Amino acid sequence: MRAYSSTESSGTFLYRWDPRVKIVALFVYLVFSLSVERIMSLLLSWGLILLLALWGRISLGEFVRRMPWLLWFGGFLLIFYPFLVPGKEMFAVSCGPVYAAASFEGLYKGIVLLLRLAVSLSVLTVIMISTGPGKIFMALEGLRMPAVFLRTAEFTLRYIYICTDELRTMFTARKARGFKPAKSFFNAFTMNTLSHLIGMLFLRTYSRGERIYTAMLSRGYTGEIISLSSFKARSSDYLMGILISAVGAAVFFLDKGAL
Amino acid sequence: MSAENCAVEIRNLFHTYPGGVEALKGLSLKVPLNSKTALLGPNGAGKTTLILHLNGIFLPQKGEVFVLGRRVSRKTEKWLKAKVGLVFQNPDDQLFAPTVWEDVAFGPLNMGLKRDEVEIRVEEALKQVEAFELRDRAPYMLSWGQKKRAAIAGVLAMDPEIIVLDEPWAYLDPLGQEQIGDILNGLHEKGKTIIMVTHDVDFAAQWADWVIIMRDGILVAEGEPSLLTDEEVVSRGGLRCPLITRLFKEGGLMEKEIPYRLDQGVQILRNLLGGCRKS
Repeated sequence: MRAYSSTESSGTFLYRWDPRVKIVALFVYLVFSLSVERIMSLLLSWGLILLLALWGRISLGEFVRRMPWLLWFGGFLLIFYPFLVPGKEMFAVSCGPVYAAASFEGLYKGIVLLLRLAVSLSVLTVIMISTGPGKIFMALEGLRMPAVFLRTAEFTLRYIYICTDELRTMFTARKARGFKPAKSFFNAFTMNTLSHLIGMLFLRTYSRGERIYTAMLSRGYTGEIISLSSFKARSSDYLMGILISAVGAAVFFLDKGAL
Repeated sequence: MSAENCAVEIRNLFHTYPGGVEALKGLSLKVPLNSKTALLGPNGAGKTTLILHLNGIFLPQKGEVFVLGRRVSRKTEKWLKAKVGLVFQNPDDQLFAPTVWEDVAFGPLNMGLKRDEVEIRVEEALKQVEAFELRDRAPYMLSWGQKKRAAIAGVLAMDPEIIVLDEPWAYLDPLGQEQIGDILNGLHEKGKTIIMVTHDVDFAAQWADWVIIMRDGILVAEGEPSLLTDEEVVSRGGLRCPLITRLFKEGGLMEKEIPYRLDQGVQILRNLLGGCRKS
């Protein structure tokens, strides 16, 4: 089980920044960053976010830890885009009647998408690490996000680890009675056992949901969750928000050649 | 026991679940005010169904439930939730909010209290269970014992007069059990009525000052913990006498005043050994 870092330990402005202003400002920054076309502009956007993280004393290790996700998805973009976008031929692969040519334009597009992904992931990392899930949900509530969406996300985050643990325990219990998954996915016994496992997890999750609801009712729940959100934005919070948005806009106009 | 001395009074209560399972079949019992009551019984006795009636989750299908002298009905539901706090067996069923602070605040906010009052209550409740330092932590990051304490704080913040705990020792290590035990004793000293659901007879004998034994949805016996020395009654409840009682009975050590608590047994043994030494 992995949890997001606690926000208590750090006293930098990035951690103390009003979460609502932080989310809006970084979202604006992200929109500008994702609208640029040049690789240099995207690198600049990414670099600025990493600088912001460094200034806020967020460990770069947090970004490195998330890199495998980026490479996993981004790797596909880099591999396939050169073959999907027509343009000046870089190299060609032929296998009998099949012929595929990779283009420089496709590679460029792949790199742009990979960098956009990197900027998005970095912005999310900054928000998650410096705010923490609890305050993010409260801030989103303050920003008038639909309650049903927030509750679904909150409950998912709260119970996903428990469901995973439950699945792991059930799987271990089956292994303890000699179950060994066959190498072939289509083995009837393995398929049967795994489908029972998933079915049982579904039933247990349903039953847990009932118990959670009962526990909520016992503390007076009537269908509406009342929040204790108490954010008070100071002028420095707004100034920081304007600054971050302005930097995003500057990179965008630089990319478009307007600056 | 007069009505004004009762925290809870159940009269001929029936409950049948959808599907036809009869969980309560005419249950009648009383829980004294400001008592430490152990609700004992084997699995399937109807203990959990009963406690869900105490908080208004279930309303009587047939029979009557009185809490602090008021008859439970749909009209008393909101009042009841403030007066009777339920602590569920598995804290993961109870702690659902992103942080401990928000979870503890959930009940008081539902009571319609003002924000300042809620914050004071949350802080006090967390300090009472020595979990104030966990306030910003996410529940999934806590140990089992910490989760239990946070779950109790969630109920304490509503300042109920009756606190009902379903198997509070489940999966707790001895240190965790001791911590929870101290918290509950402290609450009892402050005038709260504590009802604990358990099938641990030894613990019930040691801790409780009132004992209720249930089986198959009906009352087997209720009274002071000394009733746990009655083998016939206890076995009718699908249970066994406390270990210390069995030691004295099976060892033929005493014929009268058979102990049910460890300290009583120790005292009797000291007296016996003292007598031997003198002779």
